[in-house]
Amino acid sequence: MNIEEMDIKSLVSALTTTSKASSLEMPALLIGVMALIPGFLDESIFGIGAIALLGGLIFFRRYLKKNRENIIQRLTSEQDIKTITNQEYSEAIKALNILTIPGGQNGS
Amino acid sequence: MEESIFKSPWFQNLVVPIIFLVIGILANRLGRKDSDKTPLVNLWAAGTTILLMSLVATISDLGRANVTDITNLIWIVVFLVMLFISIDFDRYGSWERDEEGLPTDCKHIVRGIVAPNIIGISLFIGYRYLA
Repeated sequence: MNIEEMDIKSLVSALTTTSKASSLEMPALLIGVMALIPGFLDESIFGIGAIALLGGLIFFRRYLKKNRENIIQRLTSEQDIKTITNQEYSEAIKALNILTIPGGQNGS
Repeated sequence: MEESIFKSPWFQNLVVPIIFLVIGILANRLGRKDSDKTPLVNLWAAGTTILLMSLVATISDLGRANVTDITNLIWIVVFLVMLFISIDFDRYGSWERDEEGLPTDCKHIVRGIVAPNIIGISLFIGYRYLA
């Protein structure tokens, strides 16, 4: 997946959607593992699906971290030529920060 | 002969995970630096510690006669997977964010403290009842 060749609207959409989905990470995981436990929920396909989705989220986060500067450059240049609105730019940057900057750096 | 209170099911299933929570909070307090100015509410975030202690309990149960090996192994995998994702979530998903999406120094009350604690306790209770 090359940042320069990616459709900018798809990139903005992927960032904002993933950022929103990431806040549901723990509850989704709980449902996922409960579905895998024998005798609890008998739909193991949901469990496998939820865990696969969360695994995908972790890999996507690693990809974003690695390409963070390139993504910011691309978003800034697209904002300059007005391909994306200022609001889309702000939302995409916010989503990128949520997905790639960890908390807890200033002490505990 | 009357059974010890510590061996009773309600103690093993309900009190033990609460003790895990208290130990987790105390461990956070113990690990806090004197110069740390972050909000004290962060100390209550013990979800990952509960999962870690649950994993240890599951491993220690492996040799017990009343637990079948395969069920126990599944639970060990469950706790391991939960632990890895919980660590990731602790770093990225559990913090309050400002309007630019940057993390503040305070844990989100529901997403970062209440939910992980409840999930950790529930999973341990689930393990005790189902395994």
